[in-house]
Amino acid sequence: MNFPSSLIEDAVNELSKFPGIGKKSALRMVLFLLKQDIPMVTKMGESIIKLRKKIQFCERCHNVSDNRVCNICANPKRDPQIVCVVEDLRDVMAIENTHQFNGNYHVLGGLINPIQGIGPNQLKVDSLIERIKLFEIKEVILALSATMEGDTTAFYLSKKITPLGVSISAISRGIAVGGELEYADEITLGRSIANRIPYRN
Amino acid sequence: MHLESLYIQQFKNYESLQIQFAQGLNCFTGRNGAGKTNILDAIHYLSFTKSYFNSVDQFQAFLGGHYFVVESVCAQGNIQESIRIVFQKGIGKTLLVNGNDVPKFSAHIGAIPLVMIAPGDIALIQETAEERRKFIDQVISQFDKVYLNTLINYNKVLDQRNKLLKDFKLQGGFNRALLQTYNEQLVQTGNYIFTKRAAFIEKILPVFLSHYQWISGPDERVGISYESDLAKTPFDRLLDQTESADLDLMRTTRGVHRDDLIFTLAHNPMKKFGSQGQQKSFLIALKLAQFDFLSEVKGKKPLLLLDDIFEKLDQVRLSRLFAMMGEGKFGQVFLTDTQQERVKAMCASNAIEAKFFEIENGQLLR
Repeated sequence: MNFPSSLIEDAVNELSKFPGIGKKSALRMVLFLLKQDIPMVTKMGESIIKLRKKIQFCERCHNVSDNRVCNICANPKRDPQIVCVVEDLRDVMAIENTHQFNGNYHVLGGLINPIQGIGPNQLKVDSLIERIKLFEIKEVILALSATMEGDTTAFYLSKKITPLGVSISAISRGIAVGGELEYADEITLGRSIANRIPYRN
Repeated sequence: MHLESLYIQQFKNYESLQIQFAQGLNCFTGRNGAGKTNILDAIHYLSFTKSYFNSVDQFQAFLGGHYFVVESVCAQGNIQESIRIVFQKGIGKTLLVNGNDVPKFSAHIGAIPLVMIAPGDIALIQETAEERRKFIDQVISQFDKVYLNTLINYNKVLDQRNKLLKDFKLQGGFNRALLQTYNEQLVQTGNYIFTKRAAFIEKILPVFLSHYQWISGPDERVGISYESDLAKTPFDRLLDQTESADLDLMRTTRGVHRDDLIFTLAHNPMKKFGSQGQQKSFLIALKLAQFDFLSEVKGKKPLLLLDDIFEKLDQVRLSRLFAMMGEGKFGQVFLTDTQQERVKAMCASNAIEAKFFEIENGQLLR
C-alpha cells in the first residue's frame, strides 16, 4: 500500500500490529484519529502509554493490578485459604462474572506446552507452591481448559501439590446447562455418563 | 442398505453419467482406462467423502476442470436418503444429506459402511507397519468415535513428550515430575488403544481364518498376530525402563505407536514367503473379515467394491468367492473387469443375477 505521508504510513504500520487488525483496518483507524481534535487523541495515546508503564501484577496471585496486591487478594471478605488456579486474566474475569466464587485466584500465565516452548518454569508454578505453604491454603481448585494441555497442567500441578496435604478439586465438565442432550458430542456425553454424580435435589 | 442410483458430473473422465444400480451385483466392464474404477471411486466418495486413491480433490475433476459433483440415492427399507458431494475449486467440498449441509464430514463417516478390495491393498503386506496400523485404526474408528478421539489424544501427548525429551537434552533442566505427567497420560490413552486393538484382532481372527480356508483350501496355514510393546510389559514400567534411552534418542522409543500386525504363512512372513496369489487371497480374506465385522457392529451389510479381482486370483479362488456371493452372503456388490464374458460365465455357474454396464471412454454404452 502506498501512502501520501510517511506519518500516516508509520501509524498504520504500528496499529496493524494488533491481533486481528490488518493494513486496511489500521488505515481506517488512522483516518478516524485525524478527524478528532488534538486533546482527544493525546488523551487516548497517554492512556495507552500509562497502561503499559503503570500496570503491575499482583505479587500474590499474578493477576493484573493497580497496586502491589490486587483488589481480590486485598479484599478481607474473601477467603484467602481457597485458591482457584486459572490460565490467564480472561478466566479470572469469566469466573468473577458468575459471582459464585468467594476465594482467591492464582494466575499461571499459560498452560504447559513444550511444543510452544512453555514449561513449568515459564509459568507461576513455584510461587503457587510457596503460597500454599505460606498462607496455609486449605483447598486448591483447578479451573483449567478441558484440552490436552489443560489436562497435562492439572496433572502436573496435582503431582506437585498432593505432598503438601491440601485438598485438590477440579471444575466439573460435561453437559452445558440448558443444553439438549442430543446435541452434546459423543465424547462429552460418554464422559458425562462415566463420571456421573449422585443425584441431589 | 443399497445405492439406488449414481449421478456424477465432471468427475475424473466422466463429463456426466447417470446410472441405476441393481440391489445385488453390479458389473462394470470395458477396456483399460475406460473409467470402470472411477465409478467405484465415486461410490467411495459417498461413504468416506474422499477418494480411495488420491487425496487431492482437485485432481478428481474432469480434465483439470474446476468442479465436480457426485450424487446418489441410498435406500434402507422404506427410507430414502440423498447424498450429494460438490467440490468447487477455491471454495472446497460440501456434503449435503437430504439437502442439508453437513459441516463435519467425520459425522457422516460410518453412515454408509463400505469395504473396498483393490490391487493397491497389497501395500498392507508390502509396506511398513504404519499401513497396517492405519488399517486397524480406520476399521475401529468407523464405529467407535471414542477410540478415534483417544488415538488423536495419544498422538498429541506423544508429540509433546518428544519435544520435552528434546528440550531436556538440548537445553538441560531435567524435570522428572513433568516427564511422569506425560508418561501417565500416555499410559492412560495407550492402554485403551492397546485393549481395543487386541480385542478387535481377537474378534476378527477366527472369521479371517475361515474365510482364507474357504478361498484357498485347508492346506495353507496362515495367521495374524498383533505385536505390541505393551503385550509383554505394562506400559508404565516400559516407560520407566526406556527412560534413559528415550532421553538419549530424544523420542519415545516404545508404545502403541510402534504396534504392528504380523502376517504369516506357515509361520513364515507372508511378505517374503507368500506367492502373489496367496498374498491376494490373504488380503481378500482380511477384507471379508472386515466386512463381517462391520456388518455385525453396524447391523447392516456394507457395500462391497471389488476392483480388478479377476486379474490376480486363480480360477479356484475366484469361484469360491463367487460361490459366497451366490449364497447371498453379501449385500450390494460393485465389480470391475476387462472382459464381460468371463464375469457372465462366473455369474451363470453360481446362479447369480447381475446387472452389466459396459463402459467406454467415460461413457455408458449399455
